[in-house]
Amino acid sequence: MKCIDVSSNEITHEGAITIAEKSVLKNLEVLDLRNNKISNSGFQSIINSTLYPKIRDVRLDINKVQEVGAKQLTYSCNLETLEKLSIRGNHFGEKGCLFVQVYALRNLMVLNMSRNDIKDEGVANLAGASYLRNLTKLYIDDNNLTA
Amino acid sequence: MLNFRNLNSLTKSNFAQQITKLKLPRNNLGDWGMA
Repeated sequence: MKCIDVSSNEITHEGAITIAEKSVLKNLEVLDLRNNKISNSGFQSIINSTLYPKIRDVRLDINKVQEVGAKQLTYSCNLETLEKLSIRGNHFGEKGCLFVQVYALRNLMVLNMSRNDIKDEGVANLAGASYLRNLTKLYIDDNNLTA
Repeated sequence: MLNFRNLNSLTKSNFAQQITKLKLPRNNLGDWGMA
């Protein structure tokens, strides 16, 4: 199995933890969990999972991840294969923009942070990102940016 | 609507072992469906 789409399935942190810790989908490349009810602990489990050595595309749009969950990115070291991370419609906020600037995400090519309660300071944080050298597409629309 | 019980049957079928792309959006799997 290379791609699994379980979007819009009422999955909470418990289901996310199951996926992260008990799955046998070792060839999985695309994991689509959009529009569920996954909160910080579920996000933490997904990004720290060691069961997906080939994962390249993770879609977590429209869930319930906040800054405290986003911070877990700074501890993760299993994301070097990740090329696309979509977290539109969560609550990463200003500090969440800092937490995506981690060495583990150095191969990221597409980052979608639309609708994440980001203000000007968050964009300034993103602008200083030194590890996101391979990023070619950044989506930060529908936040609270000023002119 | 797909739920845990019929997903379990589906994933144990012979043809399912060859599947590389599984799309199950907009069902009612919940956390049990991930087990």
